[in-house]
Amino acid sequence: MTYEEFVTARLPGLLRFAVMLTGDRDSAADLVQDSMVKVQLSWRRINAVDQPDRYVRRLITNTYIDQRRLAWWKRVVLRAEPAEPTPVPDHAETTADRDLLWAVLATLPRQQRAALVLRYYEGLRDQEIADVMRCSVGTVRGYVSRALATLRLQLPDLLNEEACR
Amino acid sequence: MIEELMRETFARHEDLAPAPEPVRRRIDTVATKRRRLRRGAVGCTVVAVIALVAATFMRVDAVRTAPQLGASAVSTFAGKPMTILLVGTDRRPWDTNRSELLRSDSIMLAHLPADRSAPYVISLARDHFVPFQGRTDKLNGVFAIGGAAALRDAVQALTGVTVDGVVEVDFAGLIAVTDAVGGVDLCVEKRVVSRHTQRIFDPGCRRFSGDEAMDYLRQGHTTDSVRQQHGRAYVKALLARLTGADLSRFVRVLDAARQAIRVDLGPAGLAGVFAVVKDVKPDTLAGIAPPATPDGQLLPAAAELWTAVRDGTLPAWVAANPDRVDQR
Repeated sequence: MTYEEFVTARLPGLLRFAVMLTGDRDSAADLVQDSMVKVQLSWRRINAVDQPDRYVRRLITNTYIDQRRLAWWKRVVLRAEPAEPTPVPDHAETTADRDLLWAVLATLPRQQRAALVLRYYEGLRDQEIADVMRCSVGTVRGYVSRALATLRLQLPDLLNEEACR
Repeated sequence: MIEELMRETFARHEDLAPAPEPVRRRIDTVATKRRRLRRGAVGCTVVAVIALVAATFMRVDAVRTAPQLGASAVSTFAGKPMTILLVGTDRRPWDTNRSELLRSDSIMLAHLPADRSAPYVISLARDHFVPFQGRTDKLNGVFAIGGAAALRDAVQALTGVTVDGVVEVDFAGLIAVTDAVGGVDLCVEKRVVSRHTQRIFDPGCRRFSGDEAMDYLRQGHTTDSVRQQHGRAYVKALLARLTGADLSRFVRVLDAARQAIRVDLGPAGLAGVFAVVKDVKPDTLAGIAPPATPDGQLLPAAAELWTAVRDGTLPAWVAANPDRVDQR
């Protein structure tokens, strides 16, 4: 596969993946750009890897997680504070509740959010997630369960409502 | 249930993803830039290595017979004059994205006669009009449009002197080189107040840092001739700091300079030029202002100067035109 073919086929998917991680459009574009520049510069080596796509997703994931470790002067705020839930008209309530979930996702530590995205958006198995995040399966499960616990704590109303349906 | 809710939330936010095309263009732009940067870094390394080798040989030269590289380099100019075109540009280190053309603020010929009796630095008025691309343009216009190569051709046509190489230095290069040699010693004749920084240069001799030297050299006053004279004094002062320099200092200078200095020395290369320059005595350097009108047009009398350069009779010309020569 040439680099051009790879970009044409995969870039839209990678951008969607990135936006699930970052939660906003501009940071997602930056994240993918940074990673893809690296990919383009060493495409021959990356193409030799079995699954370039998986490799790039790992690169994006770890770049996203590592951003928090950068020095303060390099740090880019990728995650907005969760927006105050604005009062909304009744008919839009369900949507607003779900956007509340999106907002609460932004408060999670990055490893936890990455684990959620890889599991529920990318549909990867825990072993595969561990491979992408370069940690053990146990750690992945820890991230997921802690993230779910936080969400349950933050969104009791939403979940109760769901349960009552 | 929360899992379902999450899948749904993710799916619903897919349209938040950025459009691929602009991102793809930016990736290509950045990758191209970075590739160029890498290549540039490699180029610089080559220059630095050549310089290191040259500098080493210069030390070894003193004790041993000239080794191969030194020998071939010396032979390029052995028994011949050497002339290097020095161009100081107004590219500012703090101003990387200027759309204006790059102007050559200072144009000089550094000349070493075949007999190596003394080095000469001859200013060329940047406002002097020369034929260029079927019309006339100022020397600095030639540089702005045609670059160093066009300027070299124009200077060769103007003077009839063969130019063996071009060294182009911007403001950042000037600062870097000056600081790398630990500052230069300049003498101020008349009090100068910087138009750019309001820095005051009082009469007297002292050591200038890179920042100060750049500030001082930028000051043009009413005519360009004062600036030209400062430029010649700077070259002399720099040379004084370079001769007798040890290996490590040479390497430091080149390292400092590599980003801001463009060197095109033809087949002789840096090694050849260093091999020649090492024997130069800065005290004997003569700065020359060619006869010109106040607005920077060379007078017909300048032809005699160029003839003297070509024929190797500069000492006689200097003796006959003391008012055109800087005080030593």
